[in-house]
Amino acid sequence: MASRKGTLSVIEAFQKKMEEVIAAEEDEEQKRILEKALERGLQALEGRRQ
Amino acid sequence: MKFCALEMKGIRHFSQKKIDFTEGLNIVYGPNESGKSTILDSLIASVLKPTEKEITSLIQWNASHSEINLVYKIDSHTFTITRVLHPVVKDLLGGDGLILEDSQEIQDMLEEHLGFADKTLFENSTVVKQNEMQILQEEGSRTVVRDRVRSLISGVPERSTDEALAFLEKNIREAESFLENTKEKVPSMEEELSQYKGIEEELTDVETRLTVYENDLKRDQSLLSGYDVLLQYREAETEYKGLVKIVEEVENVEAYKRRLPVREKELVQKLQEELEKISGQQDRTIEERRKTRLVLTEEKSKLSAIDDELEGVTPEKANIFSKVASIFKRSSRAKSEELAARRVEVSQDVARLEDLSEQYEEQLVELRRKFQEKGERLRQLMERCGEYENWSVDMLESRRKEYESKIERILGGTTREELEQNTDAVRRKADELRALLVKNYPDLKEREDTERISIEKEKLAEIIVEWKEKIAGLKAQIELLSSKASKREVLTEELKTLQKEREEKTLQMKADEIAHDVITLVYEDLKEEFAPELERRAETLLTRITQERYQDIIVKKEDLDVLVKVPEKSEPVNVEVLSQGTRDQLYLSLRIALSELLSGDKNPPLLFDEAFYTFDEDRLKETLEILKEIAQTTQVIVFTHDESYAEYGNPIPLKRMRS
Repeated sequence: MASRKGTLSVIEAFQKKMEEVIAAEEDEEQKRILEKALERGLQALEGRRQ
Repeated sequence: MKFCALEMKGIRHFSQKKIDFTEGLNIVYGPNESGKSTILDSLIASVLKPTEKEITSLIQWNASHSEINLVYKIDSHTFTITRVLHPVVKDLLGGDGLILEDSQEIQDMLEEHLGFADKTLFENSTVVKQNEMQILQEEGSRTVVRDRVRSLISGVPERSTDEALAFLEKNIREAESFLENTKEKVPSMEEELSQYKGIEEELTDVETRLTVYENDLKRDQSLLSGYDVLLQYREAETEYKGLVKIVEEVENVEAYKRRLPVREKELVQKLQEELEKISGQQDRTIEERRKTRLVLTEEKSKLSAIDDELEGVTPEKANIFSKVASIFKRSSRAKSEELAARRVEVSQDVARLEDLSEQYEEQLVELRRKFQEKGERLRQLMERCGEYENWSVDMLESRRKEYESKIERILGGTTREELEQNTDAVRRKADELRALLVKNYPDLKEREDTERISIEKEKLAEIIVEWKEKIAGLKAQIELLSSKASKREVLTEELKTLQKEREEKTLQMKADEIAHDVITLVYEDLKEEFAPELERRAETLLTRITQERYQDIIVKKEDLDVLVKVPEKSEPVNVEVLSQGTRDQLYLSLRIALSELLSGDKNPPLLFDEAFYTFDEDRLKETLEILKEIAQTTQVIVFTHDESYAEYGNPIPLKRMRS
């Protein structure tokens, strides 16, 4: 989804936040958990569409 | 993004229709059934791929060809999207030196241009429909407004952030529960598995032993078979010898039987009778010959006397006779004639008798020859009869019968032919067994100690029974061990699955917890940031629309619940207390504010479908003025049956279509 000029939606804000955290994480195991958290969070926000 | 022109061919009531849009505010107006909804649906179907159901609803019932073309602009670039809906479904996107025919590539490009990947999201953000406004007429419209606002700021049309958080919480609880419930199961399974330790080694050991035992059994069974063959061979040999003995015995008796001179004896008798007969004939012939000779002698004497009488007369007798002759001239001549006649007669008799005598001689010679011949034969036969010289034919016949019944006894109900066939068959069988023995059991071929072999065979049979019992025992053991090994395998697999599942659940739970926390965090931040901004923008719009009657909107940060301050009351009130028109105006203010807040940098057009029908004239005018201002930066298309809207923007009139 394209970025917006206005206020971010929750899903966008969540994705942005998670991507920042993942990028900053050095521990591979922790990174894996964070990537999973991003995937699960998006699934939860997008409902049953995925 | 700005829509420039929409062309419809064979779409619902439009056989062919082209609509041109300006970049600002467009008012599409016309009575019911003039095609306003068709235009709106066609616009949405152009930018977001329609479903099969939507395609079916758009195609004109008798059209041979159905197609929608939309020309739109992104900054200074113009693109055309073509959707052929009938008779085949085909998409084409062209513009800015680009032509796409692949459906997925087209959709990706449109999403990029539109800023939305989802139809509902697009509609929620940029399309305000009459139906949507009607929702607010229902009871609990406050909840509806709040949920819509929540849903819109979640960025996902189907689910609000609260629902997403609840979903995650539920998953976390389930994962916790699963992990708790299976916590004890892992060590318990590990404990159970430890009981099966060494099972594979034990199984291998037993299997090795089984192989050894089976080889031993095979070897002994082979030897046992060898013994069997050997014993059968020896038995066949013995049987053969026995049969040969019987054959010999039969032959022996038959030889005795053959030696019995029954026929010879009969011939002897016959020859004796014949010799006696010949002898009788000979005697009779001799007698006849003797008699004949006597008669012949007599006849010859007679002849001689006659001759004497005829010729043997002395001179004196001749004188006398001459004298007598002269006297008895006539009588003498008669006498002479009589004597001559008689002489002829006697001569004939003599000749006949001499012939007869010669015949008798010849007969006697023949009889002697026959007698000699038969006598010689009799002598030979008598010589052959030898020891049975004194036996009668009956005695010999009786002995012959004895021999025959003895042969019968020896044969024991079979014929001589059968005995010979049987003997041959046994010989062949013995030869075959011998060949088998030589080929497969060369070590046994010379052994003749059948009694010892029988004993060895019995012992071997006992050993084989023991082998079989041991093998059966080992097999049962293997079955038991295999079952345990299989159980162990299943248990190992179950444990592995459970451990994997626990790992996955743990990871998922951790991920869900993080996701939950981060979503909560950003949600709180957004609400913190969003609520005052939404409040401010919506307030501005509502204040203008209601000519400053309603100037304060409160959007609660914690739950985005919307309250309105009314002049008559000191405290803000729920939206239910407002009139239907004011509720719609409040909602419109919030929708426009939300659209401004959430719309992407692609700036898609705002579409209003009969959204203001509950507005009074003043508020409607103000609303349209506001839309006019918004249209300076964002394209706005209003669909209405009210012709009076037309003066506020680019009028696009529609007429009721004839069926």
